[in-house]
Amino acid sequence: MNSKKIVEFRNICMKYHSLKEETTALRNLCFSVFDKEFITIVGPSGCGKSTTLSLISGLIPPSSGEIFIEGSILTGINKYSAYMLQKDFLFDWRTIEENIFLGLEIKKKLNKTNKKYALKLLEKYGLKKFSKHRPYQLSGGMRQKVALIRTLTVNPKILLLDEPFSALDFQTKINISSEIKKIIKQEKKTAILVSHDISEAISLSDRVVVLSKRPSKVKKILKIEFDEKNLSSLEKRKHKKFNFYFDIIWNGLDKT
Amino acid sequence: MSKKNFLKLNFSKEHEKFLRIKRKSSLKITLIRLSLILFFIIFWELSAKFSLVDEFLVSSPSRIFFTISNLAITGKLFEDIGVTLLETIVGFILGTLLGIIFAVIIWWSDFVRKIIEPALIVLNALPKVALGPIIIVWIGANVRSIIVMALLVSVIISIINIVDSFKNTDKEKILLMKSFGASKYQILTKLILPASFSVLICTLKINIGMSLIGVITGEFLVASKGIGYLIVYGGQTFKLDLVMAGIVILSIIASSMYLCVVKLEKALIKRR
Ligand SMILES: Nc1ncnc2c1ncn2[C@@H]1O[C@H](COP(=O)(O)OP(=O)(O)OP(=O)(O)O)[C@@H](O)[C@H]1O
Ligand SMILES: [Mg+2]
Repeated sequence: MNSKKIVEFRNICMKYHSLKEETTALRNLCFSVFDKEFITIVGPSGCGKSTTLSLISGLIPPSSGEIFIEGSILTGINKYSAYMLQKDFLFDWRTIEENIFLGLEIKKKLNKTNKKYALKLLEKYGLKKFSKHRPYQLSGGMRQKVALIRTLTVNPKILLLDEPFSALDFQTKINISSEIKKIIKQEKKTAILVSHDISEAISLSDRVVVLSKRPSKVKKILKIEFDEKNLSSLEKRKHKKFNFYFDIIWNGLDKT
Repeated sequence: MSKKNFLKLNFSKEHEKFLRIKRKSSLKITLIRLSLILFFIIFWELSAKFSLVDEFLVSSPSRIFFTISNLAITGKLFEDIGVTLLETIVGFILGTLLGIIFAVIIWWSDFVRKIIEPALIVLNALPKVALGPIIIVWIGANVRSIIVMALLVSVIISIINIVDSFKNTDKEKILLMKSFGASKYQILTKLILPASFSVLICTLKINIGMSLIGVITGEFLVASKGIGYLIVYGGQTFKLDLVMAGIVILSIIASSMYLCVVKLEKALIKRR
């Protein structure tokens, strides 16, 4: 594994303020993500996982501490990252093709080369015949794949995935998640996934970060390694080491 | 080959049957509607003819028809329709446009919204007729003050509805736009406005009625021309045929404008 740090959190604290109260979501959070790594963040509900992703994307600044992206301090929007959320948020008034152009349009980079790249991604991942379709004509799994391609078209280095599979049914979830993992590896991206699903975390990631309950700190960082190379996520789920990892994570999670 | 024909070739027997039933039922509904109207007209006519009701009070379809054709022959009818139509359309367009513009301003700045919102709610609850005399004194007893009435009736409710729709746009969609680095203007044009499409169309439909209310109220107050004036005149001189004729013409104006908006809606949907 390449050991270049692409994201580094140094003593990040995050407080939300409202008229009634102050919520400390993160307290002294420290962790790093390496280039082209697939990392999953798990933790109890409301512990600040989505907040962590928002911080990396630069949508919100931390209350204190520093975030380094490729070695330099992040200020403002992170140009290297792109989001994929729980719902696909495809726009119904746009065709699939127009949907995947959205990021390029916003960045004013909708030129021939980039269009071609976007359409090639669509073709590569088996969605070309739907390019003129509307989102509502696609199944949930296909829509999530389109949402991934929409994030890929702007050529981000870091993909931020906020529970992107949790709205899918079990079978689709297993298929799509391993397919999306494959795409991410193939396109050589760094991925930071937030998940509630321990099995998903083990079967997809290189490392799993376990956060404690709020105010969160890193409780445990677990490297996931199987002796055999290139196991599919289904094979990993059946592997004898799977339960071993599962227990470690399960026992590490704060129960509320 | 057009896309439609291409699709047609691929229809299965079951689908053909489904379409046939669908078409049949929509034909049936149209027929029932038409016959109900026809029945109503005939019933009205006959009960007036056979003196079941007082023709002087309720008029009759034939009398309304003759009233309208008499007005048409003198040419007065077209003048009145023209005036009312002009006032309504100008009021409608101004009311809707200003509604959208103010809604955008209010959406853009939370600060402005907080300051303006209570005023909007009060203005919305206020019957706009009450403002009539003030408008007339300020602007004069002319077409312009009638247009202002139409505008006032439609603009407030437009602002409220549109702002509401803007505010209800999915927060996470906005987050997605922002994560791509979208500016506020891009969020407005690429997300908020298209996402509010159906509310905007609905506002147009509502505003037809609203601006007509404004125009007729205005004409009641000041006009010497227009359908509203015709109705007032008919009422004051006990020519109820004239009143009824005015109402019939108003419903024709309202439904034609409605059809135009529906046409516009379809054209816009096709274009997206
Ligand atoms: N905009 C905000 N204003 C105030 N408090 C917030 C805001 N966003 C999040 N919080 C609070 O911060 C904490 C962390 O929220 P966050 O959404 O990051 O949690 P999460 O781990 O993603 O939760 P979940 O598992 O439910 O998705 C929660 O307690 C939440 O109530
Ligand atoms: Mg979350």
